[in-house]
This record gives sequence, C-alpha cells and structure tokens, in this order.
Amino acid sequence: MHASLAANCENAVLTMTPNLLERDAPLAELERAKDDAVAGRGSAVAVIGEAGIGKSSLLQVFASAARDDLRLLASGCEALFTPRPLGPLYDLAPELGVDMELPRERLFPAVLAALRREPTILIVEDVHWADRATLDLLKYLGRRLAGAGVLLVVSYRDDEIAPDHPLITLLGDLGSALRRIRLAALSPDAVRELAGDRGEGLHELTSGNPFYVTEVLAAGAERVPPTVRDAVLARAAGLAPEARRLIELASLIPGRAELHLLDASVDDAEAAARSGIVRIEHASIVFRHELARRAIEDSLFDARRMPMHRLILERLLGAHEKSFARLAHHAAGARDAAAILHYAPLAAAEAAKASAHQEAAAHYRTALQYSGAASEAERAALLDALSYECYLTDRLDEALERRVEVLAIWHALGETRKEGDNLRWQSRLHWFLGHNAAAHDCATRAIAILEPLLPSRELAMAYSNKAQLHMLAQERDEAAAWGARAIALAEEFDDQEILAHALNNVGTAEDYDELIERSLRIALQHGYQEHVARAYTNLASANVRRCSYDAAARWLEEGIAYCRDRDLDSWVLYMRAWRARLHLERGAWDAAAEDAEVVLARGASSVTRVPAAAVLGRIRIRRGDPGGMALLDEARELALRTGEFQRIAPVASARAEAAWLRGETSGAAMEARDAFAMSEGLAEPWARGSLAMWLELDAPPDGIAEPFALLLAGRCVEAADAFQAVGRPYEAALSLARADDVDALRRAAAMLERLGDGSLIDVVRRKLRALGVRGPRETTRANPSGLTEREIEILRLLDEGLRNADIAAQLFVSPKTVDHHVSSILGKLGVRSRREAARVFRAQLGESAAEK
Amino acid sequence: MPRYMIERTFPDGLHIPINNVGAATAAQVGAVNAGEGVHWVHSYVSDDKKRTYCVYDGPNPEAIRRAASKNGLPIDKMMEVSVLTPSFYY
Repeated sequence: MHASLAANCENAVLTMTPNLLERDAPLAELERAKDDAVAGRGSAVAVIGEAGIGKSSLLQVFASAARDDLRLLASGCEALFTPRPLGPLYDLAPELGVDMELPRERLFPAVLAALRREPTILIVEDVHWADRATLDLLKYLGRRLAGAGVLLVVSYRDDEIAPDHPLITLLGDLGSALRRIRLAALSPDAVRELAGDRGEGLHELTSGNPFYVTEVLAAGAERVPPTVRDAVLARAAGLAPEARRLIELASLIPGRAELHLLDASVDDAEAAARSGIVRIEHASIVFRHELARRAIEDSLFDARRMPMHRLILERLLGAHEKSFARLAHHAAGARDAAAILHYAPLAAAEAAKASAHQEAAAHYRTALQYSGAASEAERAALLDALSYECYLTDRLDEALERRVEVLAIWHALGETRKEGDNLRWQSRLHWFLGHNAAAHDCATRAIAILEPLLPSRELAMAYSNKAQLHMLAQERDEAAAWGARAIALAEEFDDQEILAHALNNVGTAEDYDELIERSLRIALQHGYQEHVARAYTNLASANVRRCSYDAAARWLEEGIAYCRDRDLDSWVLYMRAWRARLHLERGAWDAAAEDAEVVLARGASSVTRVPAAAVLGRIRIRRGDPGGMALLDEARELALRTGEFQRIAPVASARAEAAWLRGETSGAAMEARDAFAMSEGLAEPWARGSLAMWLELDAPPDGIAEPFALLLAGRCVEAADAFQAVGRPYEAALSLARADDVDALRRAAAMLERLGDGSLIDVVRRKLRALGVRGPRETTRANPSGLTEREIEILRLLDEGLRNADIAAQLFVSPKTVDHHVSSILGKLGVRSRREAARVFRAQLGESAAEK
Repeated sequence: MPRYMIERTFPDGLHIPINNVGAATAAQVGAVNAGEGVHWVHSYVSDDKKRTYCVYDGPNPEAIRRAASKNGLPIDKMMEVSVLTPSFYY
C-alpha cells in the first residue's frame, strides 16, 4: 500500500531525487544485479541498515534509473499493530493480474509466473514488518529466480529484529541465494558537505545517519535538536494549523493515508507536502520516512489519539475497506471493544487463511484483551482459536495454557462435547511437550467424556488420537483397536480428514502400507498437506525399517518433491534424515553424509536431528574420521529425551558399533543392552537384530531378522550372503570379518575398501596377517588380469587419450613412473600398444557392468 | 574452523615439480579446495616421497574428503588437531 516507487518519480513534489552521498558502491551492486536480471539471471538482494540510513532513498534512485530497462513493481510492509497477511501482494495483484482468492499453493506459482512474463524488478520494502505469509512468499520466490529475468529487492532494519524474528528464518533459508548490501553511516566529510558551516559536531550527534542529518538541517533551529524525534517535531512546529492537523491524523495510518480518510483537500495536502515531512502519491499522504510518522504519532496524547482512530475507523467503514487487519488496527486504537471483538477475529481468520499464523494469534490476543463484555462462550471460542494458532507456530506452552483455561469454561457451560475435544487437544499438546503420561491420561479422559454422548466427529478424533499415541509407543494391538473405532466413526460421518489421520495411524502401527497409501490418497485429493507429508514419511520409514529399500527410495523421492514444492521445509529435512539412513544402509556413504550434513546444518528439531546425527556419526567412525563420537553423544541425549524406541535404537546400535571398533566388546554390549530390552515384544526384527549383534549372547534371541540370527549363530558366510541379498553391504562385510578363514576375510577387505571404510578394515588386515597372509592389495585379486588399482586408474586415463606427461601431472607422479606402469599394464594384458590396452580394458569394463 | 592432519600414501611417490607445471597443479588443487571451503595449510613429505602429512583447515571431515576425492588424493587417516609449540611454555 505504500508507495509505488515508479509513481514517486513522476510526482511533481518529488521530482527532486534525493541527494545521495557515499552510495556509489551499493548502487553499482544493484545495477549489476539488474543487468543480470535483464540477461535472464535473476537473483534476490537485501538492502540492510538502521532506520534513516537511506535504504528507501537508495532504492528510489536505483528504481528511477532502472525503470527504463525493465518493469518495476514496488511495494512495502506497514507498521500495523498486526500486519495484513500478504499486504504487499495485495498492492501488486492488479498490476500482476493474479487472483488473490487462489489458495496459497496455487497463488505463489501464479505470482512467480506473472513476474517471469517480462524482465522485472520487484521491490518490497521494510520486510522487518512483514507478516509470515509475505515472508513465505519471499522465500518461495527467492529460491526460484536463478533462471528468471526477475530481480527481487527487499529492505529491512537489522537493528530491530530479535533473534526469534521470523525474518531471521527467512534469511537463513535463503542463505547465499540472497545477496546482502549493508548501508554504512555517512562519513564526517559527507556530513560536512551536507551541512556546510553548520556541520560542527553534527556527525558525532547523528552518528552519520542521513535522515537525522537532513531533519536537523530542515528544522533550521538555532541549537541542534538532541534526537531525531525533536528534529522532526521542530520541523512540524513550523506548519500552519490546518496542515499540522492533517499530518497528525495521517500519522495514525501506517503506510499510506488516503486523502478521503483524512477528509483533506488537495490544496491542504500540498501545503503539508511542502513542509517536506510528507509527500503525496496516488491521492494519499505518505510520510517521507517512517521515523517521522512515528515521531508525530508519539507526540499525540492518548486522549487525542482515540477519537482520531475512531474517526478513521468510521471513514474506513464508510469507504467499504476490505482489509480486516486495517479495521482491527484502528478499532484497537480507538479502544472500541465491540469493534475489536468484531474485526480482530475476522482479521485473524484472514491471516490464518494465508498461513500467517503468528499474525492470527496476535489478532486473537487483541480480541481477548477486550473481551470483558463478551459472553463466556465467545471468550472460549477465542481461546480455542488462539490455542490452535499457538500450536501451529510452535508456542506449545501457551497453546496448552489456553486449552486448560478454556476447559473450565466449557465445563461450567455444560458443553460436554467441547470439553472432550479440549482434552483430546491437551493430550496432543502434552505429547509434543514430551509429557507422555499426561498425554495418555488426557486421551483416556477425552474418550470417557465423549463416549456416553451421541457418536460425534469429536469422538472419532479422540479415538484416532489415542491410536496415534499407541502407534508412537509401538503398541500395535492397542493402536489398531482404537484406530478401527476412529475409522468406523469417520466413515459414518464421512469426515475425510479424520479418516486420513486414523488410516495413517493404524497402517503405521500394523506395518500395513495399503492403509497408509489410502490415507495418502485421501490427503492428496483434499489437499491436507500435513497429512500428505506424514503419510509419505511413514511409508518411507516403514520401508526403511524393513529393508525394502527400493520402495523406501520411491516414497522419499515423491514425498521430498511434494514438500519441496510447497516449502514444507521441516518435512523435507525430516525425510532427508530418513534418506541419509537409507543411503547408509545401502552402502552409499557419500550420499548419506551429504543428506545428514544438510539436516544438521539447518538446525532442525530433535526428532529430525537424531537420525541425521546417528548416520553421520556412524560414517565418521567407520571411515576413521574425527568428530564421530561428538555427534553420537548429541544424538544419544536427544533420543533418550523422546523415550521412543524408533529414535533410540539406531543411536544405541551406532554407539555399540563404535565401542566394538575400539576393541571394547563389553562396552559395546553395555551400549546396546537397554535399547534391546525396549525392543522386547516389538515387531522390529531388523532394529532388534542390529542391537542383539553387540550383546555377548550364547544363542540368537527371538524376533530378530534372519541375517542377524545367522551371524549370532556363528554362520558368518551365510549371514554375509543374506545381508548382501537385502542390500546391506557393510553388515555383509562385518559378518565376513567375524569369520576366521582367509577367503572370507579377503572378501571382507575388498568390500570394505569399496565402501571407503577405514576402521573395520584394520581389524580384518590384522586378522589376515595373524593367519600369515601377506601379499598384493585385496583389489588386485578382484581384477581378472591382476591389474593394481593404480594401473586401472592409469588405464582409464589412457583410454581418455591422455599422454604420459599429462597422466603424471594428474596423478602427482613423475612421467618415468607412468612409463613403468604402462609397460607393466601392457605385460599383464598381453598387448603391444596403449590403444590395444585401452580396448581390452573397455571390454573388461563392459563385462563387469553386465555382471551387475 | 577446525584443523585436520591428513595422512596419505603415494606408492609411486608424490611428484609435484618446482616449475610451471607444478605451480599449475598446486593452483588447481587450491581452486578445488576453495569450492569445498577447505584450505591446504602445508604438508610434510617423507624423504622417499611416499608418505605425506598434510595440515588442512576445513568445516568438517566430509568437506575434506570431498576435496580430496575431487583432487584425486588418497586419505589413509584423518584426525582433528590443534597447535602446540614449545614457546607456549617459555
């Protein structure tokens, strides 16, 4: 709503472009980014600095020059008590031709498509005030500009954002995709140039803040005003009464104050604009700087502000204002409880629909503040709604507190069904907070209250919640029984969302993919994104856990693509953690490490960090690299806190393996013991086996997967073949390493070398030496012609047509060494020329590829 | 940034001549390292040139490995190290 910059420059009042000092470098950087965008290499740039440092002025100068080369779209965020969701986009929608009624998952792509239609600069100012949905949109766009002719420029004040500000997350998510331009304060020389002989002491006082400097100069006072605010007020003091009243009223309207709201004539407005404090554009008054607006607004006493807000509210209503956020803002300013209770919940619903949940929560809080005159039922509804928004924004403590507060109200009102639903919610919140006993208790009470009533959706959800708790605790029969009741009721009420929820719980508990797939289909069809993500994740994890790696890989690929398209980042990370484990078990350590590294670097939640840290810790230990135990220590602490077997088992197994590789067999048993005890009675043969293998047992225990049972029975070679058959090469090598015969050990060494192992292989080599084996490196035997690894490497380069000298440089050896190797190769292959050698080599490669 | 000591074996001996070819090789290694955020500080080379002990700065062991693999350099052992000199005790 603020300023289309393009229009600024046509405005008579504003034809004076700001006088920019010491901004050549930032301007040049923006110009380069613009030229890149014109050439189809889009990017995102942030202009950063404190209030008054000159971000807007810089962008104004940049924009007025750039608009000859490409389309210019500009918008900004407003300092409302609670910003309007997607406010900046509403301003641009007409120019872009996008339909704001579209659901978000179609709206964002539509905006991107509209931007890409022609080379464009999109400027969004003051994103430190942006609502959550706008930040999501910026993230969505920022990640998709590389191949587009679009330059996205945002500006923000870095000194006003706390570490928990959502903007921090956006900046982290965009990472290096966002170029940052930080504006520095003016130098003493620049201040002197502006101030001339009045520059004495001005630089020290203003710290070189350009806005402050110009305000001081414009105020023209004898003494230098001690703060920016004083400077602005000194300037406003010189205004005629009419113009001053106009500016005061306008100061209560963040962003742009339409002249019809102020009931001002164009003449009065232009008089005000001549002061330089405001300017006129699009029949609105806009403050030259937000600092000036705040200075004027703060100078008004509360008693004066309230009737002015009321006046604005009435005029907004008269003009059929569409933004509930704006109406709620002025209703709050007027302390008009009735209006607040009407508009704040509407604004909250508008925000929630745009997924701006923090803003929605803020509106509900405002409404609650003024709910003294409201009925108990109204208050309870507001508390319920606030609790839900808190839940969505990870403020779980407040979410629970509000539910507890509202439970008493529903009880007093005799709203038994709502009481039951409330307890079901409390159960869920307790689980998230790690209060497992309370979670089960509330779940049971919810059902006890709801069951005597007529069957209801609330009861169906209470059943499904109970099923989910049992599923997470891996109590299969209970999960299935409660889930079946949930499904029956959900079907009776034809409630697809509860059905999707319940099917997933039962399918996961019973290890029955078809049910989860049904849940997935329902969720996809109705666009229940969370349920879709949960279904993909549970399908993938179930398949990883039973070593159905191809199926797991397919679900992960689909699930990650789905969540990536919708910026469901925490789900993407969680699935990548599972993919890391999948790669690890299949022996693709590089790929596993890459996934795990990304997950850990992005600071994900503990449920996500645990599997990633377990994977990367294990890889480091197997490779003999440093830092493995530190990761496994972190993973252990986080896993134990969840109390869930599925998090604890992989960490315990990894720690046992690490101890065993250090030669501490009883230490290994100790690491695995507790987790193994937890697995008693669970249908988790693979996890159970991966723990049992470290215990010093006389015979294989029940309920472990076949390859582990063979290994524990001392049938190492059969175990190795069985592991190989399911696709777990490391465990295959480990089984062979436990054998005492030379052939098995040699096979183990060759497999471990291929995996990149640096720990177990030492154990194997020691055993081989103890058996009296000395000889060529293990891989030499694997090659039919008896070529060494180095010789194969050289052959490969020969095949690429490289000369001996080039090969020498590439392999860091002398050309003479290469000569020796080449003659050895010719001898072993029984050929005369390099070309013939390459041909034989390729034939061999073809054969071994065919074997796979 | 952590510092790492990397042990490598070159069965044929490490051969980087002190001339333009060697300079180009070293520059190429440096460029690949930079792509992984890894910095080669220096190396100690055994007399027979078959063993090297290389001091590297890098964000984590995985980055060191990626750089090594792109450069075609072997890794026998890697450990995280810190500097200790007698002057600390003067």
